[in-house]
Amino acid sequence: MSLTLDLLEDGQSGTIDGLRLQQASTVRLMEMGLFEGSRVTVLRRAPMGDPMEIQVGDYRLSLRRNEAALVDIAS
Amino acid sequence: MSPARFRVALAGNPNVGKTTLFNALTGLNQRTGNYPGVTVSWHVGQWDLPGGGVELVDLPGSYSLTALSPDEDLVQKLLQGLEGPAPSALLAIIDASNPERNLYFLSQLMDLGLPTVVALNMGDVAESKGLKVDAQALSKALGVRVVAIRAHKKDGLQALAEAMERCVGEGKAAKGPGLPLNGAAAADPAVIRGRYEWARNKLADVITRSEVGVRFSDRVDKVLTHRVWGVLALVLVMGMIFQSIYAWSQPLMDLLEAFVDWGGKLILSPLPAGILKDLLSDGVIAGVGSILVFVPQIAVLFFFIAILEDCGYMARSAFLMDRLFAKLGLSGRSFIPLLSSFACAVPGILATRTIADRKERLTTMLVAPLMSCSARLPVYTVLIAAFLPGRRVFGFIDQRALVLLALYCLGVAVAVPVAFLLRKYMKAGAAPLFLIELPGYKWPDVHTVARRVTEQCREFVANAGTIILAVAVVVWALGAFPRPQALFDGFQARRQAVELQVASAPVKAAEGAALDRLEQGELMRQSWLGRLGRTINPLFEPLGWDWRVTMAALASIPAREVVIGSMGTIFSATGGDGDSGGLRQALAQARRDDGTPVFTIAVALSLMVFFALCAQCASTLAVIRRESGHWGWAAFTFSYMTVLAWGAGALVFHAAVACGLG
Repeated sequence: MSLTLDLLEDGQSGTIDGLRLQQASTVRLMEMGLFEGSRVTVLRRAPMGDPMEIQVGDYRLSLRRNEAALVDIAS
Repeated sequence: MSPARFRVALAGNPNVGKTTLFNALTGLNQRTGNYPGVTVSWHVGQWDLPGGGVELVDLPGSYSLTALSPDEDLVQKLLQGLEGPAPSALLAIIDASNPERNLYFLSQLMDLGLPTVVALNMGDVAESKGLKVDAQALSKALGVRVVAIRAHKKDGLQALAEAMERCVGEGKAAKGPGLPLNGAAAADPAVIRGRYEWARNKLADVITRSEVGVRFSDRVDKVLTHRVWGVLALVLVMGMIFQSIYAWSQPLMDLLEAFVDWGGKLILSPLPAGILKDLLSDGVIAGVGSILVFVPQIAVLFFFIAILEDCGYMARSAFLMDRLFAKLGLSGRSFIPLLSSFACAVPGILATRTIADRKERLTTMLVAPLMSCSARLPVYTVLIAAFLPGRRVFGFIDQRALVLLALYCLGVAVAVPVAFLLRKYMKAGAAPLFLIELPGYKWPDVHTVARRVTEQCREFVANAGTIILAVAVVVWALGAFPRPQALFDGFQARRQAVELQVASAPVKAAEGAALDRLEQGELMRQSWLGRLGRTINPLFEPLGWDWRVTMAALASIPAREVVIGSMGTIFSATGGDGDSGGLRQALAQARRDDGTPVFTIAVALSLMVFFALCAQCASTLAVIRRESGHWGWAAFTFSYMTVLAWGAGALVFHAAVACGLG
């Protein structure tokens, strides 16, 4: 079982290994700087556990868990 | 404004201070353009360069030129000259505190090959993050002029104007990485990666990083997105907004109302009594009043929305609430529009402009009118007070309060499945990826907030206002015609009889006023509207309605609260406007042709349920048409809400009759 972004603990960082979302979403994520080799840090989760706040490069964004589950993290 | 020499496009990512820069460069010399379809507006203003004025176009903020959202589609059209003249030069604004992703978009902009100047904004924020971007080195690396600015302090604007003047004078095309810009090739992973590599290379000798402690913005974020404190803060902020829409706008609304009254009297007093006076007072002036009455609520709501967006909290509220809405196929972005709709759906629907996804925005717009707005409250309170006994449930809960609460919950309960179904069956569009940037916190810019508020109000009055006025006049005319002379003659004879027979002046005045009201009631009952009410009444018999109730519902199509006044006129209630006791009595005493009472508890309940769910509000429908770009969506909203209201009304009526409340 490989590691995915949604499984990272709050405060944990990882390096993206691949994206398995549908094409349009993959393009958008890549344009936002999330692609193979990018370093991401999970900062926290919203009060109901979803979505999650992540740090990419010099900025932060909010991503839902079901989409984060399609972002592979290098183990 | 002297004729502009050429057009310059201002482009950049969202949340980089683009609007602030645009306002600082153009001042008040602005106009708004609108994009067909779901409303996306853009601004054009005059920017004074050393060599004369040029036209500056503020493109919607976007992350990329590969058109994924309506905003980005518009950016492409404006850049290619499909909406107005093509720009001769480009002003790109980038955020120094997030250079890499900003340079990704810049690489696309530079590949357009226009003479380009880069405004490097937010250097102060970057420094607080331990990041230093050297403008000169960046200029050398990119081969275009780079000017460090601080948009909110109006720093560096002169240098920016000079740079643009020289840049256009030279006419040198910017040169990006030279990667594909259009179609599938632009979205190829290798191309995207190529652009990021280009950005990294360009930045290599330009930025220096140093270690800094935890930033203020991060500390604030930790509290405001906290499981407990964050939710508490959200409840407080939303409570305050909600309270202000009610409380702050009320005095403003009263003031406007007084102003319309005063202006109306000024216009009306020299006119002789008659049809023209009635048209002006009951059609036009009442219509104008019903438009202006929304302006304070819109102003107050957008005052807060502009502040929340500008300071960065809006994105956090969506982050906190997203989970609740995700199950319905909506997102946290729908939270503020829907909450606002409990005060009034008109500003609520306008607030959906903050939702980027088209389908999600449309769904939010279409369910917003189901939230029980403040205009429904008078309908509920009058009917509850008139027909429900104040019995207690479990010894301490007032039954009437319980009914009121149930009516509020009804809207929400119905909105849930409606939103779910709408999302399910709406035509597929772009993939619903919930991805929002959580920008750093900053102080809101006064000009940006002020502009947003005035623009929203002006646009509402100019666009939705005309439709609202037209509906008000048409419905007035239906209720005022025909005007049979025999009716007027009959009442004139009765007035003369009173004049002759009654001696005491106060009694005479009271009898005269009573006759006036009887005349109005008679006039309305035999009007086109009355005939229509009688004709379609069989449709509303399952709800237990008398034809006069049906007629009052028809008369309230411009605005639901009108039903109270209409019923007052139709049932010829005695007592003035402010006296709901007179109305209550008239309703309780109203009899059908066969002598049975018009209103029973069952009828009152079905009427309230109908008004909780129906779309009797021309303003809401006008705004839906305006914001969705199609009459079809307004017609759909009216139809689905009327069908639901009818069904629920009939259900409640029959259930109540079965319980012996008929």
